[in-house]
Amino acid sequence: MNTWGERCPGVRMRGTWFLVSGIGLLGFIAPVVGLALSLTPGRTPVVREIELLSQAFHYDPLQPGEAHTRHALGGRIEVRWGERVVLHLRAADTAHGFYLDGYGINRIVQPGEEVTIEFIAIRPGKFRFRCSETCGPLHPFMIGELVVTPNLPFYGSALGTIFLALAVVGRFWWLKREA
Amino acid sequence: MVVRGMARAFVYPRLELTRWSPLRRLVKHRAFQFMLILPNLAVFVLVLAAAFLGTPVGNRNFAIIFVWIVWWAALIVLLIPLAGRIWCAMCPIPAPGEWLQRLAIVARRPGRPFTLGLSWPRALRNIWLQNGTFLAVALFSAIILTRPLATGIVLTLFIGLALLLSLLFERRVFCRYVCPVGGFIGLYAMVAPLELRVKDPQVCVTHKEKDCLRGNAKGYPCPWMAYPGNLWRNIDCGLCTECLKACPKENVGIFLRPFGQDLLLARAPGWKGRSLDEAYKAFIMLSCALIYSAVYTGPWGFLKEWANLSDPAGFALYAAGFLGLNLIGLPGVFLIAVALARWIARAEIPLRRLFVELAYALVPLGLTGWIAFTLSFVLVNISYAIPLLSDPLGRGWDLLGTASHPWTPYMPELVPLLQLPFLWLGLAVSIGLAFRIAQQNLEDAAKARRALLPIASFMTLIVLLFQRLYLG
Repeated sequence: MNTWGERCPGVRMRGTWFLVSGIGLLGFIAPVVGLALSLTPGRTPVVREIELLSQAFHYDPLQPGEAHTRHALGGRIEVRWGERVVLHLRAADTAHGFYLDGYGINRIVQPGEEVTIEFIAIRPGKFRFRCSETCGPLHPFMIGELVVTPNLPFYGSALGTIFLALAVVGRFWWLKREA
Repeated sequence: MVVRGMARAFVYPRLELTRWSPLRRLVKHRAFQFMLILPNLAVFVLVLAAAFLGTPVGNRNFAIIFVWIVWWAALIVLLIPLAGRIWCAMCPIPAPGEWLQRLAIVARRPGRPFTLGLSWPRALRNIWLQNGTFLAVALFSAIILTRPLATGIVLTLFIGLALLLSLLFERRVFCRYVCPVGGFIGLYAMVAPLELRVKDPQVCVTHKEKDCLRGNAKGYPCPWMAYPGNLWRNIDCGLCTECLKACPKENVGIFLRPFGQDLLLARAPGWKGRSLDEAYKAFIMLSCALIYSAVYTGPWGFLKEWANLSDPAGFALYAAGFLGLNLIGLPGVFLIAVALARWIARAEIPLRRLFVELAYALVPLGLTGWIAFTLSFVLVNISYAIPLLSDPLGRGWDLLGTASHPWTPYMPELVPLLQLPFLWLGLAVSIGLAFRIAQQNLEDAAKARRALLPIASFMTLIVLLFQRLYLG
């Protein structure tokens, strides 16, 4: 029997509700804070040079001088927040594009040439780069990822998800118990 | 005794839209469905022309962009969540077969329909076949979604199969039991706030003639083989409005209602209850949203090559992984969560039963997962549609002066911010629904609360997986 609920049900219900709402609110605030932080520019002017080989329908990031392997695990580049990124873009088979979400960079590279793209990773988070030059059937899905660490939007939103789940489960655990 | 989840003459609030006489007159008009189908049929013909005669370059071809981006986005983001099976009412694919069957396009022609009129086999009166057809299409999606010719062949196969089945079997068995799209539309239509239902089930009980089932001078018998008097869920209704036309008692209407009411229903007269075929549809859709997010929006080139049939051994691995996750992986993990829930709750209900019942709680999460996946490519690629308005076949035309419009991704960096609210909404609603379903099946609320913990954890993990793919 729920004895504490009977002693002062109204107050208890409000208290629990505030607790649940607080947790839920925190869950929503966390990613927003993460995204707000992401607008702050970085401070460390370290230069990261990366060779990026594009071929239908993926990008293979290589360290300078590294031999190309056909089935690289993924076109994912990780850099630190604030680093100056220098990409040496090449095309292996046909002309490909490089459009970086959130940075407004859009370049095209022809086979046999190298295009150098420079930018500062001013925002943490994941930004996709996409082929912007029609290159074959899967062209719209030719996508790579630039992850600027620490990936605050991801960690913030993941926390938000966990808090949200706790809040919804908590609602049934505490409020329904009092009903 | 009141059974939890039992249909009790629509206990939820409903607003009858067809009380508004212009709308009522419109939906009762014989040409109503034809007027819905006609513009889609015109676009469909253009799609087939572009698919077979247009450029083979997918993003320059009307068939690819208008079917797999424009139509798909409209279907998943707007039509299904807001209006349920409304697409089924306006879909051009079964129309030729139905018109041939009726030997009429608009009019109610009396007499025997032009069909052998065979009954659909009892063993197939479920959505297992639709699960299979969807998986078959989804497995080859990298080909179908990117090659105009493949899209054209698949759509032609659909229309041919619909025609053939309408000549062999009664009514719309293609839509009800075969169509791969109709299967998931039906599942997610149960979320929608729009329903076609009877106003008062008691009127149907006392009405012996059953015009909605047999048809009369004003309307055909239900093409979806549903009896409106026992129609409780959107999955069983194609919104064709034939029953609304035929009912002499004016007892059928179109209603607005709170979202997701069909998913709360546990038992109802004439309905066998939640079933494994529909539960599996929920798993398949959720798995596919995850797989597609990884293959099409992820950075893994080898996955795209495998899905693209570039390497037969790679495709075999992809197919094994794809079918394994859909049919064994995700259901298996969920089964473990349900077993844990059953153990924690000390419940008596058979594990299989609880597994099926709780799987329905994944429907809102699956729908919002698909919305999130769709958002990931729609805003980025929708600008491909603008030049195609001037040059649908990719033949160098410039009919409207938009042919040279460049590819312009719209706010791609904001896409995750749009995806997150949908994923969170799906998570919150699915957890809430899981609690209600647990309450319906377990003896008391305390057990339901305990059972909720592993199920909510499973759902949270799924959302975290989506987030890992989109943001991580």
